[in-house]
Amino acid sequence: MGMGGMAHGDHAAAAGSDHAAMNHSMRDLSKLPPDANGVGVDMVAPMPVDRMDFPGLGLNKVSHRVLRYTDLVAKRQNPVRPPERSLEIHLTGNMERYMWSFDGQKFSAVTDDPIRFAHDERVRVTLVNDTMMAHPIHLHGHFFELVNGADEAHQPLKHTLIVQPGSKATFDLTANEPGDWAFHCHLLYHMHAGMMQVVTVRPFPEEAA
Amino acid sequence: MRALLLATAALIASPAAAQDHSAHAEPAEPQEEPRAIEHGAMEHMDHQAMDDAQAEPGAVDHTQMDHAQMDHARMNHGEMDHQAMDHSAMDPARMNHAAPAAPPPASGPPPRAFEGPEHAADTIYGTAAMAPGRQDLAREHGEFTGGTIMLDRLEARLGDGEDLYLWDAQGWYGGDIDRLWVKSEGEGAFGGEVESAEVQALWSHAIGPWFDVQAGIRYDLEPDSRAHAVLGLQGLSSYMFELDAAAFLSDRGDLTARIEAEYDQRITQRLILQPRAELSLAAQDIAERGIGAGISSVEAGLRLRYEIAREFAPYIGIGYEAKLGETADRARAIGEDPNRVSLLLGVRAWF
Repeated sequence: MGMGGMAHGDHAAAAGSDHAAMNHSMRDLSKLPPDANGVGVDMVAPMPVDRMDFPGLGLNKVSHRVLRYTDLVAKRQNPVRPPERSLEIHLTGNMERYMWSFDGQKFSAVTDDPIRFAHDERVRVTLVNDTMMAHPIHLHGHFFELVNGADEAHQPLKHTLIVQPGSKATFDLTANEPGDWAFHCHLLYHMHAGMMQVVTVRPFPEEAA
Repeated sequence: MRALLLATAALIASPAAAQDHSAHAEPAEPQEEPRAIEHGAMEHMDHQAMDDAQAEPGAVDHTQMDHAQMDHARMNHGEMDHQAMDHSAMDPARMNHAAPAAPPPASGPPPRAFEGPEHAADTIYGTAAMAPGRQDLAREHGEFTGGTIMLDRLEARLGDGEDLYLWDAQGWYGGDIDRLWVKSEGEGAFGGEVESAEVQALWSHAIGPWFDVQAGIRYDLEPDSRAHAVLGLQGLSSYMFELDAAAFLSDRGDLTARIEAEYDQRITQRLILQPRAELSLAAQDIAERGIGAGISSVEAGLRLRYEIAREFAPYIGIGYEAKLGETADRARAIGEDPNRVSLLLGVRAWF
């Protein structure tokens, strides 16, 4: 069928890998949580690196300066607090089947298993993009701090973070808004295909009258 | 203050083992230097020089790097040997180790994160009001349904004897794992009868990222009515070969099989050369169809198509088909040439 070949043709050059170069190390499912659905994962980044300094595909070869995440610094000082724990979330997909997910499981498969944070806990979250496309990942209800090399008190605040293909990106989140929040790829086709989760911050406040 | 923080962080940082590459991506100073040491650039660095204890940190000259010329697409991270890198000669004070040396533990959410009712909105609007919405939410975020119709080959086959036409189409409808897959194929002579025509209706189930197992029925309309049970495998094998292999058990007990492989060689984004091969096998003689046991026929084609749009591509090609063994003998016996070379003119389309 032609569509699959098309998708690969479009992105192969971008990500520096195609199926011709595929081998086991390009799809090591042991790097994902055990309940990942292998059908929906066509590759796993073998050695993801932080590329917050990357200007973006198509902007990496222009002659002018491009604003990148590593250029950002918070204007006002943030409270400095070391993260108490870390959390890794993989951005996964299978372009042959139009499947997109977090940790190899689309949202409809994990509706009862949200991403959990305790109220006010501070977590260092690393997003690992196992796919050949950039994904702008959006967390509702919060601002998180990009771990972009700025000093700890001035890490820039954002609610959406683009993760480059085959790369990782890290943010520090102080989960200070109790409730259930949407967490998803902002390419809405990816979101609707399943690259979506609920982030729950607990305990919830006592029910208001 | 910032410098002090950086220096402190750098001192805390333990050597090579704790250094991840994200840390290296940020030389802190001098600021006017390129802000990123890409992995590709690291490949070009002389790691032997870094091994040398006498080497000064300045030996790694960032200003010599030309990031503009780096080809990210060609980086091969898989081949880097991190064990072989010796960072001991690098000056930690010159690097920004703002990232803590040891990452905080991946200890999972604390007990407090499991407290309370299952869904926050239920505490305000009630479960009765929210449940249908949650159902819709799940359905709309992962329960994908789609489909396509692909006219893979619609072509005239011009050669010795009669000029023939051929169609080969398939389509599917369903989700990402389970689909209804329909295929149809047939051939005939221009101005003559349809020589062969078949339709398959299959349940297609994903067994891996690239392969589906397919089971269902095939019904032959021509040369005579005949039903078959079908079991097959279709997908994309390594090196991007499209494969379709299926076994057929007819309502008369005859077992046959077909293996098809094709490959899209992109010459440009729109001009594509497609080699294609098909092998037919039979477990027994099928006299009324002139088929002998064994490999009954092979077909090889080379098609050059131009995608005017992704969905519409006329093509020109050359095809060779040969009946083999007993099947060839049977063809000769009725005065047919078992081999045929054809000029192919056709169109490939999908929507």
